[in-house]
Amino acid sequence: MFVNRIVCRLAGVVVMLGMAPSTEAQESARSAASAPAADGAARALGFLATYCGKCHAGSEPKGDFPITPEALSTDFNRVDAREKWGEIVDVLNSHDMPPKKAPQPKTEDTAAVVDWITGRLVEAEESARSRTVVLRRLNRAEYANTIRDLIGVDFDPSGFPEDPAAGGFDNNGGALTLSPLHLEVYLAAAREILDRALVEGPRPRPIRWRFDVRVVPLDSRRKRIDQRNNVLVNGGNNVQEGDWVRIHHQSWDTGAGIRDFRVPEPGLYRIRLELAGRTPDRAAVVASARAILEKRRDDQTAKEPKRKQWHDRQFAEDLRHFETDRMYDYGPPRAKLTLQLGSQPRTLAEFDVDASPEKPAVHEFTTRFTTETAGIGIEYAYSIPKVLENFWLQTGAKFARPELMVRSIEIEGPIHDAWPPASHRAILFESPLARTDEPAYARQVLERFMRRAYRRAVRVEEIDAKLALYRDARKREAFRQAIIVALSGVLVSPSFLYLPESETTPGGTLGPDEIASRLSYFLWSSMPDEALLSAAAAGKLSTPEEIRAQVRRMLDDPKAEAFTENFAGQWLGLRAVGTNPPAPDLFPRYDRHLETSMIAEGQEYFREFLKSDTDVRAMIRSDFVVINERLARFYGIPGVKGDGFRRVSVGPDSRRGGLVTLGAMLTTTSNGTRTSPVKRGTWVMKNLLGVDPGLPVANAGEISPKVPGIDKATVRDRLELHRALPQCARCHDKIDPLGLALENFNAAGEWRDREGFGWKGRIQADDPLIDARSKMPDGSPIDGVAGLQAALLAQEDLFLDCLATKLFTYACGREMTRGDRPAIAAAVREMKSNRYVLRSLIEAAAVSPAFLRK
Amino acid sequence: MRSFASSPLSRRHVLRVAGASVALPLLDAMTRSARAADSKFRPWERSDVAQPRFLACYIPNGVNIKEWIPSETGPRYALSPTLKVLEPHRDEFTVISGIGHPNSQGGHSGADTWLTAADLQAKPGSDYANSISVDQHLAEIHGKHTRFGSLQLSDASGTGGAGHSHTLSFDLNGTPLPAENSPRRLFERLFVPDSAGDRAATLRRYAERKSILDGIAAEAKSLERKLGAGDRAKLDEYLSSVRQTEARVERLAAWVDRPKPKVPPTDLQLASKPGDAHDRPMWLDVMLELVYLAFITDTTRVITFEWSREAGGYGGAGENHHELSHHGGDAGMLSKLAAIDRFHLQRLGRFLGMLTATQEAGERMLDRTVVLYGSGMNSGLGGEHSPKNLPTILAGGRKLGIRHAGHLAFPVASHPPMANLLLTAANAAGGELPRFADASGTLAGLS
Repeated sequence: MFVNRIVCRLAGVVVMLGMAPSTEAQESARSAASAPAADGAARALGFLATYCGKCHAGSEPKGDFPITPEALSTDFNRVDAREKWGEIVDVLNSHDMPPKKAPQPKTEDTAAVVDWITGRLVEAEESARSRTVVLRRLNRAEYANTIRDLIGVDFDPSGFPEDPAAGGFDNNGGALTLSPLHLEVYLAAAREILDRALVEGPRPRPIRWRFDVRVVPLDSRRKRIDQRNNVLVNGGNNVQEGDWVRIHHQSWDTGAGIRDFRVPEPGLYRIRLELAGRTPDRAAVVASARAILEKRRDDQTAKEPKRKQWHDRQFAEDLRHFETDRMYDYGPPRAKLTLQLGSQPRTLAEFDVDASPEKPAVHEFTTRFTTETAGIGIEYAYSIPKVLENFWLQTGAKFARPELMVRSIEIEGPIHDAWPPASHRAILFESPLARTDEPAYARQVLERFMRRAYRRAVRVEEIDAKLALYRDARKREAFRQAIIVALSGVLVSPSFLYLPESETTPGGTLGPDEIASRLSYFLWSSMPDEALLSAAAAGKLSTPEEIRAQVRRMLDDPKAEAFTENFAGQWLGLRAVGTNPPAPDLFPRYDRHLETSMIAEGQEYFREFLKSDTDVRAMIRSDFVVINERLARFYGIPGVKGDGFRRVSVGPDSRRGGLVTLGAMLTTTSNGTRTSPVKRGTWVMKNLLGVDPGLPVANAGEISPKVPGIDKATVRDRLELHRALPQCARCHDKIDPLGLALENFNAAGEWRDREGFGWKGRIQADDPLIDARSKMPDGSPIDGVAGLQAALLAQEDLFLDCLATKLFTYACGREMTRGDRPAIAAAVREMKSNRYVLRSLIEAAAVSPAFLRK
Repeated sequence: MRSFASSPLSRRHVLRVAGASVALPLLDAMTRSARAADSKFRPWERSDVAQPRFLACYIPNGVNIKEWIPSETGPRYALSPTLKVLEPHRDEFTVISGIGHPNSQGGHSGADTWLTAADLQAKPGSDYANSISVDQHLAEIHGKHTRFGSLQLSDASGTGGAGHSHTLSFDLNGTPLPAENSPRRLFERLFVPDSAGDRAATLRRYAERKSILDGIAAEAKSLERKLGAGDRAKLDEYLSSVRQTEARVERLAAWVDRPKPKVPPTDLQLASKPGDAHDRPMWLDVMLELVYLAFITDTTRVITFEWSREAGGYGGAGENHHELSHHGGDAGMLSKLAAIDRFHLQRLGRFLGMLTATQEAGERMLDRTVVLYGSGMNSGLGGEHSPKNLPTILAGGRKLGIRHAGHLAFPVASHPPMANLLLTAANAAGGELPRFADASGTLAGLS
């Protein structure tokens, strides 16, 4: 079944890439929606029987895709029937079928059939609209952001069940189901959140504990704080240098930290670390390596004088490694901060320490403590790739490498902005009623809270219902407890957990409150703010201009960060980075710091387009990258210092710039041990060209690990063998070339000129050169990444349409249908007339009927 | 975070040095790491429960079917190369070949319908209509007597998307029930007391929850009137969850005087991560240990456990299980698949061993536990992802009326629906179901 799906989709792409843009064809087809139905079906089935029936019928239909009245339901309300008809349309549109040697239908006959089918499809989609789910449950990120904005509490939703994605995004109403387990976690979360937000009693007495770290035998030094706390203070197996503990490298016993203590109150605490470091330059690295290598050479030569020549040669070769390899252009030392509560250690942060012991830095972190037994650890986290030349010497004390220095650790808290804290005052605000008329006050509290929680005006009966919860609980409990029960009722209500949109006018536009919520969950992944809610209440979201003004305001708000994180993060597959990482022995340069940098790079690159209104076509090829020092070292781009990301201009020599050169894309489309041109080709098709090539066909097989008769079979050689099979070639002839053009990037995303066959994947002099020559689906030759980018730029309309479709899918929380094509096409036109900037596309989406209609 | 510790043996290294594409000792590498981290958990001596139980274990991507299906049939069959792993338990299970779900679409949606037998009419990645899974019928019956009606376990939390389900369980409306993948969270849910203070406070808390949920039902009704048909269906899903949660809160209130069973976390590797290739053996073991503990404490009698989601899975030593399942008949890939199959069966065998070692009312715990193990996909002789001839094992349940039959083979062309097996297994586990899905009856040959 999958075979034809791929063939069809790919056939579609040939046309798009090679001949005509497809959107027009689809739009014109819409006008045929009202063609007479009954004989249309007969005509279509007759046509298909004539031209397709020969092969696509019988007991073994070609491509396992029968085209017979039995196999093709004309009930277009069936999703699976629509799928099949859609595939037929795509194939007919592409002129890929019937095969060239078979009898060909007349163009106008084909057009009539295509129009009829398309008309039925659009009709069915329109009528299915009311059955299309638009009632969206808040996903985990939206829940946490909404709680932050509604209550002012930072809530970690990672214990909630993961949300499934559909159409590439996890905010799809249809896919976001709800089960009793969800309700249970929502109930528990509501109580936890409100317990934290609403305080009682006097302000807890804050503590401020400072610990000076010293090198001592393990667990031999304690500091008595109070009756309960006699804290262990460890400096690890390191060197003491004045006040400072100097850590040379990571090992099980080189961590510093404090443990075996319990804070008096649960809550937010600040951890302050006094840190410094030293970063040796290249000369120091070479000098230290030279000394170590000389000693080894001399020792070996003394032992085996006959092999002196060999020892000399090895000395020279190894020294050259230290003189030339980029890994010794060290960045500042890195530290990892861990917090242990109970039995589970957790990494709070990994960060550069760019400060000297003369001018040390104080790093501050805020985290939540429980009253469980706790520990805080600081570990060395600068990774130098372990390779043949250095694995034996790099942990030796004499080897020059970034060194981390620790002086003190301080804990302070619980932190409260005021007492009672803002979260408390926002819900239980000052009011004379609080003392004089408690029930009236409770009503006020609920009224205010519910309007914000439900993101709309609230009816009296709704408030009454929650007030009843309060009244009932108040019979037994104190005011705070009773109001928490009522507020919990709000936080598990469908009006809070979902984004309900009422069906007052079928297919009509949304109400102002509903538009406000759509906008805020689109751009902020959170609830509307006061400005948006009052605009809605005042009827000021009724014209496109008013909505556009809100979009502009919202994009400038820091909360719009969530849009980059969730939209770009999912579109570019950044959440998948690290799930199947390059094998460490084959790709020693890939480390944790690089991995987090690659994820950040994807976000920052996208953000740059948003921030500086850069032409989105530059996403295909840009003369800049957005990187930090770690990535610069990996990519070989000089002159970038520091862990922060910034825009750096690059020339063509850098081979970077554009989505297809992102480390994140290149590693997630590899297999851990080798590149996968198939995955890369698929990525380009899905995410840049908007074509889903579907899943591999049954019975196709993976690429074989070795090609008979070729000693050093490259990934390309092996793939070519696979494509020799006709059932594979049909699709892979279109997918693979796109990926093969990227073969110069290895599975970790690093540039290479040869495919390595040496020890642990090392490149040897006689290893095969990378052949990144390839063909676009229309047959035009391309060479390497530059060629691919040029070819993609030549097809910019496909990219723009793909980007717009992804954006609409995310904005509307549902998958796009044929009926949405005109709205998407219009948004693309608007973006084109506005210098191709992302903001323009976002604005156009926000005022499009796809977004403003139910 | 992931560990970057290098594997004990670089396969690539071996390959390069040998300069040949030999079948690599994948299993050795995997068992080595498994052995290095062997769980210290030991089964209890005795169980006081003596109730029927049901466990369904799903493995993704099918198996190397060539090495899986025994060449002989009947009780005295010779174990196939893969099934040899279960040699110590050979009288405790039946291997069933030839069956499948007639409605299954194949591809990668096998887990979605493995226990439901539904015709999904699905567009992959979008919504679909599934139907109740067989375990949920059992949960309905047994749930009255246990703290949890059923448990859903998986290596990915949540429900997953349609056609790529992370869970095997679907409720009465066909809504997927999200799965738990963290051993620690599962342990806390099962065995760590709720900290609500004293009995009165706990009861008060439950009463409050109940009144919150009562109120919501009314609220949702008024909301429902304004919504379109699709949205109403969505809201029904919510309302049905509200009702079930209400029932559950009532049940919990009834349980307030019965504290959660005391199970020490010692010897349980609760920090094992499901998404970490290195942790894989430990993670499978600890999840199965928690299954064992949930059963022996009668915390629940119904558990479904998707070892990996379809098209996912771990191949060990950097291999990709799913890619291997598209083997195209390649001998090297098939042998790696078989190694993964043996690895999985070792985990299963260890679990069966625990149930065998525990005495229960004069029998063994295994005799009242029905264990269904298999895949909803057959990677076939050529890597086709077929829904026919599914690799399937039924183990345990002797005291529940199951008579093991060695290798029970059905002709692929005219096999009974797999729902027959589900009906047989469920009814052995106390199901009392007159029918299930498209079952034409119980499966002949097992009783």
